[in-house]
Amino acid sequence: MYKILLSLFIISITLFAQSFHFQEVRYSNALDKSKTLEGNISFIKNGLLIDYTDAKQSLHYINRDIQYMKDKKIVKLDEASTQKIKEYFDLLILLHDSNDKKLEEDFLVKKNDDTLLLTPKTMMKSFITKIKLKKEKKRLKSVQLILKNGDLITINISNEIS
Amino acid sequence: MVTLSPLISVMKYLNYTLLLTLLVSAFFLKEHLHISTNLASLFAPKEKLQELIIANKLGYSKDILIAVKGFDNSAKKRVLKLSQELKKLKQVVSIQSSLEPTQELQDYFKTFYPLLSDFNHTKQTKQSINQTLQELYDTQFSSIFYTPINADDPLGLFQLPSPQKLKQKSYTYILRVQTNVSTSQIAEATQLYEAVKNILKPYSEVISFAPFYYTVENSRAIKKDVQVIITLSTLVLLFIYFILLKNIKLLMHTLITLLSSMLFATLFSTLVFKEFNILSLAFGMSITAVSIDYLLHYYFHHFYSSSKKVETDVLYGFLTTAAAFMLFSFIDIPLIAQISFFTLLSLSFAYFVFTFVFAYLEIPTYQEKKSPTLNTQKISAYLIFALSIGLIIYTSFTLKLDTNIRHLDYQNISLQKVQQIFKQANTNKLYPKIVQANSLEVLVLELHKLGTSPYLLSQEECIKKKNILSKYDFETLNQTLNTEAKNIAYNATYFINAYKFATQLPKCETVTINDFKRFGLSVYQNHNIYYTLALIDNPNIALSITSILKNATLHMYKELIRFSLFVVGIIIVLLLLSVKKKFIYALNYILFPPVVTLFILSFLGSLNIMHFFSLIILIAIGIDYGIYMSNSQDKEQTTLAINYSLLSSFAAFGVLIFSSISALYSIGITISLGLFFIFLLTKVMK
Repeated sequence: MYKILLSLFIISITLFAQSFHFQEVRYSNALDKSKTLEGNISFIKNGLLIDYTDAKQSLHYINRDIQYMKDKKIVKLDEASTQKIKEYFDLLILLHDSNDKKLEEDFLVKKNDDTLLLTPKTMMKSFITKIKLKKEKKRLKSVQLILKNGDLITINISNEIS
Repeated sequence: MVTLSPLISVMKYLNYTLLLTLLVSAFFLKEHLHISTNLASLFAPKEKLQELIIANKLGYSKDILIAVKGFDNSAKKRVLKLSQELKKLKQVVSIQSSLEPTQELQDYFKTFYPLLSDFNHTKQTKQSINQTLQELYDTQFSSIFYTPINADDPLGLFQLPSPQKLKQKSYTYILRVQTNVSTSQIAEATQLYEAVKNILKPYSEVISFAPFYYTVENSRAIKKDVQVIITLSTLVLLFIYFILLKNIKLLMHTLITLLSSMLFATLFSTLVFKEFNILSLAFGMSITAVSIDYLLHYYFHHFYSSSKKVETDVLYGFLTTAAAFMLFSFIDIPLIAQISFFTLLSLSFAYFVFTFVFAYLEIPTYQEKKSPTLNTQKISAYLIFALSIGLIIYTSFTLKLDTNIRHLDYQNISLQKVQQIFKQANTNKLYPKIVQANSLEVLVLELHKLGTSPYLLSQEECIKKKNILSKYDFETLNQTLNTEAKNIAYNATYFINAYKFATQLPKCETVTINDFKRFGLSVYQNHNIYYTLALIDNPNIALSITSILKNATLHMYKELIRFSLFVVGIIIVLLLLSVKKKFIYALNYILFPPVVTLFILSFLGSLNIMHFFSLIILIAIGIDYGIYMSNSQDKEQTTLAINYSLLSSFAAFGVLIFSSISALYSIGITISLGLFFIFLLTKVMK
């Protein structure tokens, strides 16, 4: 019953959400190798939903609660991981909104045509060196996170799912 | 031609002169007269609340909790903006938020990280290192979560202990604002209250609470309440006095005397008591109205037109009442001591003026009117005495005591609801506990024993940890780690600096108060003992304000019983001396009204300390009437004087029923009921 209600709730909120297909490339400096993930991301009113279609895993972030599903089963995450995911998702929401005023509160913003270069001002600077945002016709096309440990996360947003 | 002697001339205007002198004195002393509206410290002696006082010194009641609703970035921004605005207030000492640590704290963690962390010092073998690195490697490809590899500590040998967080259920962000304002500083608390409310005004989804909010809001409500009560009481009394006396001159002089008595008592009480309370003032003023009983007795018995210097019945009545209040002024319950002291002064002043000054005021003699007397069936004094004893025994079994002093205060429902939100939503369930030690070093160790403040390091613990780390072979660990990483195909230079941070350790210094402050802990030093307030998860050993107040209340009940027995003993002796043979008759006036009142009150709910104190007041009022009625030659006139006096007392105390302060309400209901039963006695006892 709980699952049905939850599914109905998620379906209803995704109807009013902006959904995109994306490709995420993670470069690990420790391994000097990259890994690619693909899926759909939906920005909803009180959070976001990510479905990694190939990996059959999903993450739902609604009203600051994280729900992780693997092979259609809910998997409990530890407190520390939950906190890190929340912070990462908050950042993604902020980047997606691309509200200049809000961005300037956390970053030094440099604009170059359709590219935004963000340098963190807050505690974020201890693990993120820079963030590059690319836009096309005012729509976010890619996000690149350059991390302190040399890792690189690139998210390419291909198209909006209607 | 009649010439007045100088004494008579002086006495004739003395009533005015006294009031004028007191008004002038009040004007010049106004800087020294402080009326307190803080009720918290009024019901229990300070030493009984020692723990609470220390907790307050440590800022327990000085903190403001601010909760911000919402989960998104804008809520986070609101918190930051609020913090900045609040920091500008001069009363704000520091702000602790659930957001991110200060730069100073970040630097501290960076420097002391190896010493603050729990270190897994089991020896790492080639195989164990290989296995951990391999697992990390595999996770990078199997997990959808981004899992960064820690280049400094890939084996996870150092783990920071988890801190306690401030987090409320529906309110995402919490700010703990430490201020330098306590609940007893009314003026400062009001100023800060206004400033904080002004800052929070534009934010709709923000709630705030501080214990001193009660001080400010209650203080306003109490002042308003007392003003209404005093105005109401004055109007009712003015009306009744006019109806009773029907003599403008006498009415005016009576009012002047009552005003002077109150002013005299207020001046002395505020000078003697450091924190004379508005509640004591309100109650004291009501009791002062009882003194009209002396005037009425004199007036209806033509004392002022007689050659008598002193009326013995009134003198005995006054002395017994004064003795009772004098004894109670030494009681270890501030409110009762203050009221008793005030009453002793005001009644004494009124007695002396009514007795010695009014005789010179040429007050017209009371014209007796013969009114038809009703023949009612009278009940024997012995039967009433037996009934009273029976009721005492019955009530002693059914009586329930209210041990919560806070029930006596103004009941601020809206603020109690906000406080409840913070209490219920505290997902961490942390409770305050006072921790003490004879040095700051030991204080840190005591905090650690309770499992709190893990990031505060004592010098002893620091040295111990440093010794463990310096004995560990981090150099070999680094070499093995790099070799194994290379074998698994990790980036060759990635772990080159692994565990070097554990070999560059800072100096271990003695703990200072600043170290405590860094983590938002206050320290209070008294007689070489250091106190701090820890937040723990075990309510059984935590500081329980309810139990402190309960113990204080029980102490008050004991104290009240001890004093009451003593006072009642003295009253009985004085009564025996003044009424002799009609002892039981007179005794009924101090026994029957309080006993029946107690019997009725016990059906209405649990009884608080003010109900009991009011019963003692009833005894004090009853003594006068007992003496007058026992010794009276003219029962009709005495009954008339008593009834008028009862009516005026009823007007003074009856209005207290309309008070929203439980303490005043309790007094009002108890005395009003008691006065009715005194009236009943004058009608039915033979």
